[in-house]
Amino acid sequence: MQWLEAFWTKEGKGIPKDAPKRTGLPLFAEIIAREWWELVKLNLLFLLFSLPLVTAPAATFATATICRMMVEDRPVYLLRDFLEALRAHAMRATVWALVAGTAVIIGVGAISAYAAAARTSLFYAAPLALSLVVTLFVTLWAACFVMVSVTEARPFWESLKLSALAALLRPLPLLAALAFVAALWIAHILFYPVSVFMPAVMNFSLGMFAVAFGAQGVVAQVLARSEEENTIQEP
Amino acid sequence: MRIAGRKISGGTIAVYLTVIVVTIIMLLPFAWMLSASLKLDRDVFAFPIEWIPSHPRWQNYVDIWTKIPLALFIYNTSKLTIIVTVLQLLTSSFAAYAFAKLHFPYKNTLFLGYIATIAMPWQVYMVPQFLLMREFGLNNTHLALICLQAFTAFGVFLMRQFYMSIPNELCEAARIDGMNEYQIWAKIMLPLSKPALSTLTIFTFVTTWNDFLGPMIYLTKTELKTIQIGLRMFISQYSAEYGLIMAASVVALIPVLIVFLSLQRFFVEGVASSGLKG
Amino acid sequence: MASISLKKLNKTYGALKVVHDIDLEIADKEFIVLVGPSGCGKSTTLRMIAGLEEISGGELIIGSDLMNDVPSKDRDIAMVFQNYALYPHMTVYRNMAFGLELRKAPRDVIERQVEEAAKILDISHLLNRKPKALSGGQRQRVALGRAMVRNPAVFLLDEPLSNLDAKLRGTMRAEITKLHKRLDATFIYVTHDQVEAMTMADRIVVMKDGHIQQVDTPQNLYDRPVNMFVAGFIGAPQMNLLPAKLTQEDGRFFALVEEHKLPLPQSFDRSRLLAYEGKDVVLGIRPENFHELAPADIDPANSAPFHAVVELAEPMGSEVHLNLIAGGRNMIARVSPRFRSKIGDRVSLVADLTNAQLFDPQTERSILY
Ligand SMILES: Nc1ncnc2c1ncn2[C@@H]1O[C@H](COP(=O)(O)OP(=O)(O)OP(=O)(O)O)[C@@H](O)[C@H]1O
Ligand SMILES: [Mg+2]
Repeated sequence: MQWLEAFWTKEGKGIPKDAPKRTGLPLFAEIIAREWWELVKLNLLFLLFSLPLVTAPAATFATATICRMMVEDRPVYLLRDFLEALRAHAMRATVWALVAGTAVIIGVGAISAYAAAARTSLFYAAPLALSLVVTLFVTLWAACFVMVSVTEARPFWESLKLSALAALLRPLPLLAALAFVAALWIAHILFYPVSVFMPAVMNFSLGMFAVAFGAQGVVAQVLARSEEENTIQEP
Repeated sequence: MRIAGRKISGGTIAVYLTVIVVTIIMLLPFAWMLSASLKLDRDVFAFPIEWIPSHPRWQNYVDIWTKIPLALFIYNTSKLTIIVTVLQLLTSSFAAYAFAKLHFPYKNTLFLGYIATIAMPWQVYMVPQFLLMREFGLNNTHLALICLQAFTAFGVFLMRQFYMSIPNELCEAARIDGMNEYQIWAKIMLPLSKPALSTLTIFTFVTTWNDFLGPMIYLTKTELKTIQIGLRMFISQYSAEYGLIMAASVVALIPVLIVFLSLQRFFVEGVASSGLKG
Repeated sequence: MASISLKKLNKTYGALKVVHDIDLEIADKEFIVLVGPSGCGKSTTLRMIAGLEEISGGELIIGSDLMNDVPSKDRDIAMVFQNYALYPHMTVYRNMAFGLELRKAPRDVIERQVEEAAKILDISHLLNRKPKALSGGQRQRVALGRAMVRNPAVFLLDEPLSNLDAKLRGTMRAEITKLHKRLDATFIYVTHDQVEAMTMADRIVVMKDGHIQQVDTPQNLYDRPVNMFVAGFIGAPQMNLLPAKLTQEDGRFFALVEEHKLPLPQSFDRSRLLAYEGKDVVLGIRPENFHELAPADIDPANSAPFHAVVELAEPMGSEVHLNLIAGGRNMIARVSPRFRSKIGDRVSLVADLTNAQLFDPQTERSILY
C-alpha cells in the first residue's frame, strides 16, 4: 500500500490569495461543497440537543452561530462552539421562540381565517393580503433577530430594533433563503420514501446555513451603522 | 467499431462481455434464492426453473417469524456481529499502530509470527480451542465467540500496511507537538484510516454475520443461536422447508448489503482518489 | 536562552555508526546550517537534537540542561519537515493551533498567536482550508507557522525548501532569513544545497560521513577551507584542484603545474610552506581566479599566465564557464562573456593566486591553515 503515500503528501492546486472572491450563489455552493460534512454533523448535533424540546430554541441559536462562522469562513470547533453558543443564548432563544412562535401562529391563523372568508366575499382580500405581508415580515424579523443576536452581543431591545431594520432594509436575499428552506422541506415531502433521512442528515443545518448566508450582508451593514451612531453620540 | 461516436476496439468489447458473463454467473444463485423464497417447497426444485413464480407465496415471509424464533436469532447475530466488529477494529488498529510506527525489539519477528497464523486453517485448531474454552467454562456463551473473534491477524495486517503508507513525519510532528502515542493513534491515525477501517468493517461484519461453524460449535441452546444455525431448524429429519429457508436467508442478507453498500463508497473513494491521480 | 552544545554526540544503528563524536557549540539566536552530501548524517544529527532519534552516546545540552532523555515536547523546540507533515484531516488553523491546544494554552492566546503567525506568513486567507488544497509553497508556510505559534527557543528545519521549485525556493529562502531576524530564536537548518547554506547561515557546519569537517562563517569557509572536501564542496562551480610541486627560488615559493610556474603570494606562511618544499601538493584555484586579461587590481607578482585547451564553453549570460583541459586535467574557469573562444582552441589566461589554496595530497588537509 505504499502507493497510498502520495495521498498524504500530494500537493494541491493552491489557493490564490488575490483571486476575486466569489459572491452570491457560487460562493454559497463553494462553502457547502467544502463544509458539507460539518453541516451533516451540525445537523445531528442540532437534533440531539433539540430532543428535550425546551432546548430546541437554544439549539437553533447555536446552529445559527456555527453557520455564521462558516459563512464568514472562520475556523469552527464544532462541539465546543456549539455548546458555548447553546449556553450563551439559552435565555434569549427561549423568549424569542415564545414571542416569534406566538406571532407566527397568530399570523397563520389570521391568514387561514381570512382566506376562508375571502372565498365567500372579496371584501376580505385586503385583510388577507395584509396578514400575509405581516406574517412574512414577522418571519423575516425573527430570522434576522437570530442572526443579529449571534453576530454581536447587544441588549435585547437593540437587537430587536436592529433586526427589524435589517428585515426592512434588504428582505430579498432573506426571502430567497426562506424559499430555499421551504424547498428543502417540500423536497422531503415530495420524495418521501427516498428522502426519509433528509431531515436527519441536512435539512436543519442546511436551512439555517442558507438563512445565515442570506442575512449576513444586511446584518453586518446594520450593525456597522449602529456602531457608527454610537461612536458619534458618545463624544 | 463505433458506438455513440466513440471508437471501441474488439478487445474492449471482449473484456466487457467477459465481465458481464462472470457477473451474471455470480448473481444467478442470488436470483435463484430470491425466486425460491417465494415458492412452495415442492416447487423449489421444479425443472425447468421458473425464475419468476407465477403465484408468489408472500406468506413465506410471514411464516418465517413464527415457525422459528427468527427475531431472537437476528438479535443474537446482530449483537455478536456488532461487538466483534467494534472490538476487531479497535484491537487491529491499535496493534497495527505499534507494528507500523513504534520501535521495539523483535518487532518484525513478532509480526511475521502473528501473520503466519493466517496460513493456518481454523479447522485445524478449532477442536483444541473448543476444549480450552470449555475448561474456562465459556461453552454455550456468546462471550466465547466474542473472545475468539475479537482479534484477527488479517485485520492487523491490513491496518499495518495502511499505516505504513502514512508518513512517519506525521507521527513525529505530533510527538513534538506534545502528543503521546495513544493520542497519536486516536487523533491522527484513526481519522486518517477511514478507508482501511471501512474495508475491515465490511470484511469483519460479513464474515461474522455469515459465520456458521463458530456458532455451530459453541452454541447449542436455542436462545443463543444465530441466524445461520437457526436456519437449520427448518430442516427436520425427513424434510426441509426450502421456501422458508430461502426467505429467511434473504432477510439475513439485508444487513450485510446495507453495511456493504454504505461503506464501500469510503473504500472505493479512498482508493480512487489516491491511486489514480497524482 | 537557547544555546545548544553537542558533546561527542554519537549515533549508531546496530553496528553501523552514522554520526561520529560530534562537537558543536551553537550560540543563542544563531542561524546554523548543516550541509553535506546525501547520507552524511545531517538529518540524524538534527533528529537527535529534536529528540526523535535516541542519542547513542555523548551529551546534548540545550540552554543549561542535559536533554539526552527529555522527550521532544519538553525540549522547547519546533521542527519543520521536508514533506511538511501537516495533519491532512485538520484545517490550517487546527494544524497551527494543535500544539498549543495540547499544552492547554488559553483560547485567546491560541487565537492571537495563530492569527499573528498567519499574518506574518501571509496565510490568513488559508486558515479555514485543509492541507489537501494547498500548493507546496503554501504548505511550507503553514509548516513554518505551526512551528512559530509555540514560540520555541529552537527551530529545527530539515531541508524545508527542497520540495519547492527553484523560483519559490528563492523567495522562501529570503523569507526564512527574515523570520529568523524577527523571531529571535536559534535556527538549525539542514540542507544539501550550498547556495542555501551560503546565503542564510551565520555559521555553516560542513559534514561528511558523520564527521564534522569545518564550522565557520560562509565567507571564511569559502576563503579558508581546511581540507580538500570543504574546498570542493563549497562554491559553484567547484574549486579546481590541480596536482603541483612546491619549489623555492630566490626566497619565493612557486607551484609547478605542468609547464606553468605559478608564484605563491608572500602572505602565505613561509614556515608551513618550507615543510613541503620539493614535495607534491594539491593547488586549489577557484574558477573566478582565472582571467582573460590581468585586471588592474590584482598584484602582478601573484599572477602568471596559464594555458589550456577549451573543451566546452557554457554561457551563463553574465559570465562564461569554460571547461578546460590542462595537462590531462579537467578544470573550470569563469570568464567574462566578451571572451571569445572555440572548442579546441588553446587559450591563454591569467591565473591569480592571491586566494589560492594548498593541500597535502595524502591527508587532504590544508597546508596553509
Ligand atoms: N533507521 C536506520 N537504520 C540504519 N541506517 C540508517 C537509518 N537511518 C539512517 N541511516 C543511515 O544513516 C546515514 C545518515 O542518514 P541521514 O538521514 O542523517 O543522512 P542525511 O545527511 O540527512 O542525508 P540526506 O541529504 O539524503 O537527507 C545514512 O547513511 C543512512 O543510510
Ligand atoms: Mg536528510
